[in-house]
Amino acid sequence: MKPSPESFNGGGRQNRFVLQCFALILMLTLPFALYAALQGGNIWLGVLFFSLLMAAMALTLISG
Amino acid sequence: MPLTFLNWLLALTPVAVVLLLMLRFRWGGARAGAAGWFSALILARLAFGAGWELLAYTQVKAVLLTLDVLYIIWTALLLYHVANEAGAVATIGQALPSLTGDRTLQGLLLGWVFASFLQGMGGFGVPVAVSAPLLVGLGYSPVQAVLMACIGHGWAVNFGSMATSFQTLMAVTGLPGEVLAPDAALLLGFSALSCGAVVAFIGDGWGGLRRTLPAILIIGSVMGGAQYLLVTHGFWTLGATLAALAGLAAGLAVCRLPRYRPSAPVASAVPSKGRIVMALSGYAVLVALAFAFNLIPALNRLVDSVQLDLYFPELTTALGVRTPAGTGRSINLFGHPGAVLLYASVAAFLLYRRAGYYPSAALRRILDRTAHGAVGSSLGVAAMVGMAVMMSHSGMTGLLAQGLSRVFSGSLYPLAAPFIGALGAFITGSNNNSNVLFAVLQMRTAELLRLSVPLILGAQTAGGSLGSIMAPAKVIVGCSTVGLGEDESAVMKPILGYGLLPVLLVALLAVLLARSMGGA
Repeated sequence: MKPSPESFNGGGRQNRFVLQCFALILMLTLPFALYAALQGGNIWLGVLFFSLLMAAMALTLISG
Repeated sequence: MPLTFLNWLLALTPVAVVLLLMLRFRWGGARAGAAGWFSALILARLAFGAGWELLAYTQVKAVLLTLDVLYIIWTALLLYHVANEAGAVATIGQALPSLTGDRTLQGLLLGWVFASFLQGMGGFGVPVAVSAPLLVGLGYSPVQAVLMACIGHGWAVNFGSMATSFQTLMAVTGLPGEVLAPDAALLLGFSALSCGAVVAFIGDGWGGLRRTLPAILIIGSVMGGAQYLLVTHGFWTLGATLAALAGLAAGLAVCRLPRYRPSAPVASAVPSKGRIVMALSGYAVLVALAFAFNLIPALNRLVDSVQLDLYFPELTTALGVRTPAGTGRSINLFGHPGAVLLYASVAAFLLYRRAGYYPSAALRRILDRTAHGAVGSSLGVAAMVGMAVMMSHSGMTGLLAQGLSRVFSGSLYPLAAPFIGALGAFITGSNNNSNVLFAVLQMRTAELLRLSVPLILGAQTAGGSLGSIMAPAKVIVGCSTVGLGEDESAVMKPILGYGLLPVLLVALLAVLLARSMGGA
């Protein structure tokens, strides 16, 4: 079943908060790794970091 | 990309997604921002010819802008909780109403001047959450209290919270504060007067407004004037804070006028002078530090010596939209307004702790409340900044601006600009996010229509400042503190009516200014 904020409210705000913190840390750190990969010409690493950034954004969509 | 109605609609889609999700489906800013981010990513890739490398670099640029804003959000909230945990905020709130016997003026001091001061120091819903219960204590109904506290601080949002929204305006447009500040301060200065008048009217009707009109004119002029002087001399981070402090001083003087003096001894418990001075000392530290960093060149050079800078190559879409090479947003690690707030928070904490104002485990509670208060809004800022940078680099924002400039003639656009800013703030819950979403769009439109860019951006951020107070997120915060948790709609309807009045005033003023400048 697709998770929603309501289910987090019922199940535990703390879990939601932890997920939000995790998403925020990823969103604030991954772009720097992405920059390093792009500057180093490492395309595959860049793809990996960008995919992780999209995952962090998806996590925000779920827990935000 | 050619400007057609379909292309314009595609460019509008990410913003429309955010608006629809927040207004119709009542999603929070973080979730709606993330949804907008994905729609911008898909459209930029498939419809606007943005390559993966360009999209990746936009996210690196976006994180620099995000950190620039979050540095202030987190530390402003930290300072607020440092003071609040010590009882400083409650002390200031208790001291104010004892100054006058006129209930409307008491309401103005709390709902207008004190709320504006709180916006200067903290913001993020804090002014409403703190002032509304104090207004209920004065005898106003919960609905009146929330309305007064919300509208009272509307003029102070842009230069409040250490000028977070204004910093964002500078960051996203690339224009210096010296260029942007005068017009924004002028429009918001007049808004200070209209916000005060609306607060008095909500509190006690035409009678209250008539009685306190001299006070509103004096205090409002002092606040608007002080803010203008401060921000046009480079002190935009302290613009609202010091203006509200000047307003408090003016309020003290006004309370001594015979018509406002208490007629009988005040019954409520008034904090001692020593307690009030101590309560203000945390904020005094911030003011002293901010002045020191701005006015002492050696100190300024020292803290400005460590900067985070990244260089970006030229980026071009398949459709020919080009972004020149250059550095992104520089972050001054030790001289940033956020750093000043951090130093002030640490100093205030040590001061209050030494005075014995903290109960046990205070530090843990302060950090816990700061984190819980900031994480959600930080996600919203990160997602929306990411979306906005993608939109501008892929040509979507430019296309939107071209479309708007065709719809509005040059003489009409200044009338629309504040409402666009207000709409963005209403939807996203923040002046800051409104500037992220619409500032570049407004700038491009102003350029196309040959209007004054600082004036249109001033109208954008003034509209955003005044629109943010009507945002459901802020109203909900206020309602929850006065026992209206299940009945926000009782506040939402009247706040839209009252809140749009100051926006309309800004719009009319913007038209007059545009004409006086000889714009299109």
